[in-house]
Amino acid sequence: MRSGEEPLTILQGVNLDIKQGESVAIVGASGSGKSTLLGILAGLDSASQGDVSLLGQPIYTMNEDQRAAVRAQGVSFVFQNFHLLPGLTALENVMLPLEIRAEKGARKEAQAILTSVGLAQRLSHYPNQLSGGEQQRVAVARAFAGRPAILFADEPTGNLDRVTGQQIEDLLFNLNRESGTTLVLVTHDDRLAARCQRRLRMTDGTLVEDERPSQDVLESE
Amino acid sequence: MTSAISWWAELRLSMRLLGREARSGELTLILLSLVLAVTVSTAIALFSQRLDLAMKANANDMLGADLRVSSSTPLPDNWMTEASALNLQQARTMTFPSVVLAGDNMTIAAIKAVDDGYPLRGELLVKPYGSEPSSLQMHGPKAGETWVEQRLLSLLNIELGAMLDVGGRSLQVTGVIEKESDRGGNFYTLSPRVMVHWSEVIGSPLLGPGSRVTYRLLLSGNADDLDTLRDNLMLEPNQSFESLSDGNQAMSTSLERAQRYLGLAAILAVVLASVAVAISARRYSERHFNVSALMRTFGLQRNSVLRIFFWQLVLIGLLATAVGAVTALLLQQGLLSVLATLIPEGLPPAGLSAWLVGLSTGLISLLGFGFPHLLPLSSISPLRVLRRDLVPVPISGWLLYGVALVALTLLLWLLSGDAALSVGVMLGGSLTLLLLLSLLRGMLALTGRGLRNRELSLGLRFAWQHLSRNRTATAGQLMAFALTLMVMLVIGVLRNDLLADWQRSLPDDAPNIFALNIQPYEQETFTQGLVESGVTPRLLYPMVPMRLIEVNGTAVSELPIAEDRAINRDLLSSVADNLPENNEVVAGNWFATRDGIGQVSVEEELAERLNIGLGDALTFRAAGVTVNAEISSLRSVDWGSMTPNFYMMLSADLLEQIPGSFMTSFHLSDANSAKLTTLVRQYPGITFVDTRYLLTQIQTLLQRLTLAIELILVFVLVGAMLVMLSVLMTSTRERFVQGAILRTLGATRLQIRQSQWIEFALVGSVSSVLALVGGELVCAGLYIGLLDIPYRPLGWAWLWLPPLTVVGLLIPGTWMLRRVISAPPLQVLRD
Repeated sequence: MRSGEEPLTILQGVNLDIKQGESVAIVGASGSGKSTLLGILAGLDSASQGDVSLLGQPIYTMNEDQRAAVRAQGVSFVFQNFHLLPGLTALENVMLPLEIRAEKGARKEAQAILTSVGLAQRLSHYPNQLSGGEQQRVAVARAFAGRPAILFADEPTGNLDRVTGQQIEDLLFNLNRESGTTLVLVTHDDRLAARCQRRLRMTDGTLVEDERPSQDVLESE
Repeated sequence: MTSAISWWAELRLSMRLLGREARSGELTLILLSLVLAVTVSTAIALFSQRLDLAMKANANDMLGADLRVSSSTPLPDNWMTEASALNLQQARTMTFPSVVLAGDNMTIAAIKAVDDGYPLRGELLVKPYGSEPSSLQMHGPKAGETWVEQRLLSLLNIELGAMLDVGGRSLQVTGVIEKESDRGGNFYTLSPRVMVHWSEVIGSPLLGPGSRVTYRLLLSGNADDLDTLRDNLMLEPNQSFESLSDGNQAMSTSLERAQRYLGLAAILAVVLASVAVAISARRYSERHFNVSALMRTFGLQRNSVLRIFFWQLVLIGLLATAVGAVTALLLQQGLLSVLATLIPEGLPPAGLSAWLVGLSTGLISLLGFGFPHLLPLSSISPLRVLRRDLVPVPISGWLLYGVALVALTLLLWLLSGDAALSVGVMLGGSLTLLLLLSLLRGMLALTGRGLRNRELSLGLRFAWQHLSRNRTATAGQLMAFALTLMVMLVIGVLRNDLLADWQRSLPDDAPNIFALNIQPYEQETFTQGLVESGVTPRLLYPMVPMRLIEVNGTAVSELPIAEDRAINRDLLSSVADNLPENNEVVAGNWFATRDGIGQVSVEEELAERLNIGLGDALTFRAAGVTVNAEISSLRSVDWGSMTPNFYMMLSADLLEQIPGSFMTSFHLSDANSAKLTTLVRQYPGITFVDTRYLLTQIQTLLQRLTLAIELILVFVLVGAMLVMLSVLMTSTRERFVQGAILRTLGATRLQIRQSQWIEFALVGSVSSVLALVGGELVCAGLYIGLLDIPYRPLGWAWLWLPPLTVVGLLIPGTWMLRRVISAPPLQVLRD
């Protein structure tokens, strides 16, 4: 990865294998490279060296549009800043990815998911009329709307108070269990990380499996 | 499986998104500025076309037809057959000079024989024999009758109802012509009019060999059919299509200038609109970086994202065009009804072309100025969802300006249909823009360096920080303001100078009567007679009608110029003692002509046509005398001025050889009107040419033009102000946030207000100075290159524009930003 004139190595010798249905937490201090790793895993960014496969496809050989096609197949995101479109209602925000994939019955499905996250009464509200927790619930509903195979979450509770954060966590893990979605989340919250099956710690661009390794296979150097 | 979706799905998606965003108020601003843009440009296109049509109708009145063909030989029959086949209305006239007699008195008259189709266009006002009042005539005089001008009656000392001998036939004078709008005003029609029926002339000795008859075919009808006929007729060298410019120089110059001015105003309004579009599109694009990145994480490909936004832009453009069309129509109708009494009746409706021009303006400027700003939306990295600071690679400025320039050229060409005008404005505009931009950048950088380590007051620091943080945005904003101001300035100043120029060329006391053939011995008594009639006499110019017979020793009949209309015709000449007021020496030495021996000064356009220049030897024949002269100077002549003008001005020694007479012009006020009859009777040998009707016609036309120009000016000013407001509005959101942050940090409302005021003052003064610099350049270019008016610097504008701009920004700015200090900071920051 290059930044300015000097090459800057952000990630080094990262070897990671995540299985379908797993929940994985990537923890680490600010600036340790967590978000960069997430971006590369999700195909939002490409590494200058190395191989990355997503949903069994070699995204490291692909260009941006091909990676977009992979994302469309079953990848979704939850962000710290929610990233809801301010001009769209809660319902429309959830419908958007379904509409982009030209799926039928977008409205019905979006309504169902919003109801399942407890926002049945908030369908026609705009983001600025919702509380932070409600906004993040809309974002989670949007992420699960396409029944993704894998969900990447970047500090999903970072902007929320403890109680609300807890609710969002429950929601994420429930949906993860119910739909068998793989969950990869970046956080510096050890308590949230502890709820995941695996914990990986980033330190200065290197990845180390945390103590108490789970039964799943992983390697890190 | 693929994420590429069909274009139809993209269109539906962008419509849905657009609908949702519109409902939330997100699009109101961009839509509003576009609607304003389309409204202004369409209204100007519609209105100026209607005025243009009205002016053309007026011009056609003066031509007596929509199209006129003249010939020195009888009109070929196939012309009339072809015109009939195209369903064109037609009339024929013959004009020639001839002697008319009444008893023992005789005089030269300008005979005009008209057929039953006459008059086609324009007005023929005749006071009939008897007690009936004057009325507009739908036909010419009947066979056996004649209509004449009042001064002919004075010359022959007869009354209405008397018999007049024309070419051996005795005709009764049954009417006095008071208005003949296609009379024309050159010196070859200076004898009094005698109008007779066509049949009175056909077969008469008047048309014998040696007669100087001009045959004319007057046509009116559908413009396309007229064009077809114009293309079909094969003209001989002695035949030509006549336009107004052949008939009257003063009026055609005014018309041409006014048309160019209106065209220019419309173009500048469109430039303004385009600036608004560029600003809005840029803001729209920047506000959609997040959406675009998010859509990419949903798996949408780059081109799909771009196309979705492109469709949105097109939809916005179409909507704005539709709304703009309606408002433009209303605005135009409203204006017409307000001005109903001032605007000529039965103003023809604007054609499809005006609609096309006005409406396509919106889409072209949207695509040319708006679309390039959307391009970064496709190159945005989806990683932006994780890292907000990621912005797309800005697109090349050259690309932005290049596309805008192409769009602008297209618009100019569309609006003006005039290649020279388009290229001139484009090149001038780009150069000015480039110059202003570099000035601006330099100034910002210099000021930044100068202020770096200075202690500034809080308000000034905030204001400067706001301006210098984003130098590109600030430069853009300044540019937009400067451009807008410049347009207002140029349009306003141009209007004043154009009107002043007209006023100068035709002051209220402009000479309206010409007196010719004043014999040398009559000079003093005639001048005395004028003074006694209450008229201020002007200089008497010697006048000699001369024919050019040789150029550098070769007979003109052997030269390629033999067919020119200046050959075989008398060229009015005078002595070079006095250079007439409206003449300017453009080549050679005037004093060499005036004081030399055997020298001549030639009117420049004639010299160009005859392909003669300084040093050429000319041979003339006048009153049986042959004289040789060498060209030692060329003059430009303002034929529009109502003072004597001459093609040739000879050195004094030459004129001594030729017997000549004198001519002059003077102003006769309405109160003194009756004195003309006295003068005519007192000096029977002198020819008086009454141009009062012509002058009134010109002055009416100029009044209408003035009105049109003032209306268009209002349109441009309103447009410019709206653009300025929309520029202000585009930065409100950012100001809200900044204001809220400052207030949470403890800034008082007054401090925030002060910093806003200082910022407006800075922006206002800098942009007005830039506008003045640009205005000087553009005005100079336009005056010299396009309108042919002497250039004067902007002068006082340098003093009043900057403070006026600051105030003009402060008032709406403070009003629009009132919420910055009144809205609760928390609410702003949570939005």
